[in-house]
Amino acid sequence: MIVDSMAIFILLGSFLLLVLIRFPIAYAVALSSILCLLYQGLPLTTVAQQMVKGISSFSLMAVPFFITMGYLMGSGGISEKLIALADACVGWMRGGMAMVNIVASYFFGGISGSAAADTASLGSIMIPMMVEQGYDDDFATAVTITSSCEGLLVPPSHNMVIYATTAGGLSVGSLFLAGYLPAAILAGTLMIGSYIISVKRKYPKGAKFNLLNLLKQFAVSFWALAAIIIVVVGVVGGIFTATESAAIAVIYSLIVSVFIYKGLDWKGVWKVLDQAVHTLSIVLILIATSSIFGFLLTRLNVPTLAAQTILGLTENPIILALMLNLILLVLGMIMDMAPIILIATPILLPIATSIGISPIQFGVMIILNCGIGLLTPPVGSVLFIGSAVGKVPIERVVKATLPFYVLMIVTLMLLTFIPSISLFLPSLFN
Amino acid sequence: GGQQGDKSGAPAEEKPVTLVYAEVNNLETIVGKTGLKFKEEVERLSGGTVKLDIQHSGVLGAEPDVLDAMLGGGGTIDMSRISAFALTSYGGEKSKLLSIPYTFTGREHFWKFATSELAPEFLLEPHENGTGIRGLFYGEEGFRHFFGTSPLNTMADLAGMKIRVSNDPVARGMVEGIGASPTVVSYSELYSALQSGVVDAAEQPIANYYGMSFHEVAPYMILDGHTLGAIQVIITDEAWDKLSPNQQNALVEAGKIASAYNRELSEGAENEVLKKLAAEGAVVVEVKDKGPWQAACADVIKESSASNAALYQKILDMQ
Amino acid sequence: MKAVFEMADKIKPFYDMIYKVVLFLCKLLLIIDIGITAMAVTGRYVSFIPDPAWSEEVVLTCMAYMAVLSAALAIRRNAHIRMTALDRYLPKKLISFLDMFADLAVMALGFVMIVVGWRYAQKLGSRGFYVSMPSVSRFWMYLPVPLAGVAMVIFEVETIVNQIKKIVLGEDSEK
Ligand code: NA
Ligand code: NA
Repeated sequence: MIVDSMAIFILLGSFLLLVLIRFPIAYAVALSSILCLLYQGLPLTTVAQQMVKGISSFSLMAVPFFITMGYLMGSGGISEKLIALADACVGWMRGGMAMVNIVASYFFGGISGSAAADTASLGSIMIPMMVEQGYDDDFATAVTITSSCEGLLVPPSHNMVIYATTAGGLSVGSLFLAGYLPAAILAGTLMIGSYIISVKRKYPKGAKFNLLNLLKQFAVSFWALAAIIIVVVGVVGGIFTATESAAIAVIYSLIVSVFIYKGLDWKGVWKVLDQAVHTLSIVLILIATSSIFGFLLTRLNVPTLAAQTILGLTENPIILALMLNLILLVLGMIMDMAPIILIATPILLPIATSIGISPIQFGVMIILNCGIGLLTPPVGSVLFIGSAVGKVPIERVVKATLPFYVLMIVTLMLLTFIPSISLFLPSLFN
Repeated sequence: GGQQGDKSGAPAEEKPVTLVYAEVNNLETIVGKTGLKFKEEVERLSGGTVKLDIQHSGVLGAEPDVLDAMLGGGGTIDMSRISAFALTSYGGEKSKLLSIPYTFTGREHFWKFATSELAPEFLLEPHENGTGIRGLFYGEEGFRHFFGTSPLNTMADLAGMKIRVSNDPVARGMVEGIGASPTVVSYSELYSALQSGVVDAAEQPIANYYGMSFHEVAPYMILDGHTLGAIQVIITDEAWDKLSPNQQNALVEAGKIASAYNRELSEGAENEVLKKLAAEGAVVVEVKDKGPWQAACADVIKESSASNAALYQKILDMQ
Repeated sequence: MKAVFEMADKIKPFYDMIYKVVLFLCKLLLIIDIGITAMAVTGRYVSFIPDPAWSEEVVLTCMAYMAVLSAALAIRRNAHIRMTALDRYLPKKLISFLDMFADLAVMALGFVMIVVGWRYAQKLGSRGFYVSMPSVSRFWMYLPVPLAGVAMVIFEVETIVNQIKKIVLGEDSEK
């Protein structure tokens, strides 16, 4: 194994410095990678190669499509109908829209299996919706990004497939089953947290619950609801994959907006694309350049080094369990999910099993840890997408997310120390 | 790559080098273990002057990414294990012959080729083409077979199915040949796509079929063995030229040992996996006569071997 | 210094036009991506609609072009995500100095991407092809990188000219 601590220091140090002196993050990542490459005497062509590799991921395609869909729905009258319906359902309760956001991610995020796609799709519909109803934009964004992590745990989740393969001979079916309850617990904790914040910040409360009004709204929003139903039925029913569903959803929203709700004409559609491109202009380049950074961290064996350094310190099982989470959380702050799963699993899983954590439970833990990492600075794709979609600067998003980080850590502790949350459902079916 | 390691007591002309070796699969797989064996032998035979830094599980990228990095030069990745057919999109006309369906009748046949005097010619093809890489040795990860969500007893059962294959023209031609429709689904979405029914079938070597748990959602496999998953270990010319003749020789000799090890491993592992599959309820059907399959794919076989027909015949004649 | 102000005013309409053209291209690429993906899905069920092997690779390449071109637009709108948490505590002069530094560094980065990216695209282009389209060179897959560099440099020129104008005239000159 190559250990080049100076190269690691240059990479991470220059990046943090550039971020602090208000360098655009997308370019700070690229510049610090270039410095590291120069120091190591490696060719700068790596930058070109990794940038293209970073964007060339088919599952990433869902993000631009869902963002486009969100803007079409917003301008074309679909979102409006969905707001009215959600209001009729939960408007009587303080923080009701936050609850809708959290519950929607359980189902919709589960379908897409990607926190980024979930934030792009639900975020671009729900954040404007919540703001319109009187919620703060930073709170709305924080709720959106944290709840999007539910989708990583609810099957089908391609990250779980990656983990199952890496862990060796694990049943993907059992792992899928293991995700339902932890995701529900995450949703539960987030709902309690959002309720408390909503009461504290005195977010609005609508009219009393009225069944007649609810039924009426259901009828009125038929075409809007159908958009969601088409995606869910299409993916579950095997008509298209999760990524493809995003393109179908765009076409559907276009048809409903232009021909049925008539909220948009073709000129309006062309304008909507401006908004989509504006948001994408911020997000995609970040994903592209972060790929160079991740490649270098991997090549410098940073995950392996981090794991080995911390794990030598103790043999106490409780502290070890906490350490496992800590390593994953720290790696999650700077790296993307898939490489962490691939690199850390073979190193950490034996330690986890030695203190009585089963491979299935550890899989759930690793997914949630990496999920939290997607929401943290300095590198966090979901945080960036949330910030772009919600039009809220990242530091405000991070500040508003602070209580939610705590809630997620609480959930993580529950999952770490109560194995049956993860293992109950798989044991029922075996 | 090519970083200087710690200075051990090596002869003056042999600068100790560490070569970065990319492996797409994890170390528990046949190819992963082959890489480990190769590393062990290289380090032993070179007296520790050549070290391999194996970056496994695809952390440095999928096969095309790794190849693009190696072809770009400069030593971010010095070596890697790739499937032989990956070279097809880099002008590997000879390598392409190895991925033509129903070429190899069995393991014996492939290994006759891999240890023949024809093999070095194939391995050096990218170097001759000026691509800047060269192959060191061949190996295999078992025959690729079709598997699906409904019973597969004969070729006719595949007809009309949506089958996920990689998007290269030869694989698609094969699927069209047997009367099915090729469908593009990314590998990471394949498990879910089989579960939900976006595709009805796919094809993989037995080890991957079990390793990715595909048998949980598509428990029917038919052992048609359309192509042998031929693999090879490659090194950039840049890294190769940096080595002393002794070190180069160590790589070649280590390659022979790793190649033989791979053969043994692959065969044993496959039988073991077949037992596990049977125990876990997968239905695996043998194919007695591959004649009809071969006939169905005649067009694509002819088309893909046309540019090197004489060479292709040589491979066929080795059986 | 007067020359700089005049230049800033003169190039504005020119940049407005480039911006429009690039934005138009990005929208077109987005439409192509959505269209091809939807076509490929439909093609699996409707026989007269094609489900081509190249759909995935073409979609990803278009996406790469859109990503780099739109990123340059974000430079002009000053929309790239950055950490502004410390702004409150820093003197205004220092902030404009840091912005200037960032803009110059991004422009340098743009030049690096042009040189390195072009060399790489050419090299790979001479050695490889798209998997699904054996006649299309890999050059097109990597061309977005030097293109990104060109777009970055172009839009940074305007930004830097405006920065100089701002520094010389002070904050008030901002419209
Ligand atoms: Na949500
Ligand atoms: Na992070």
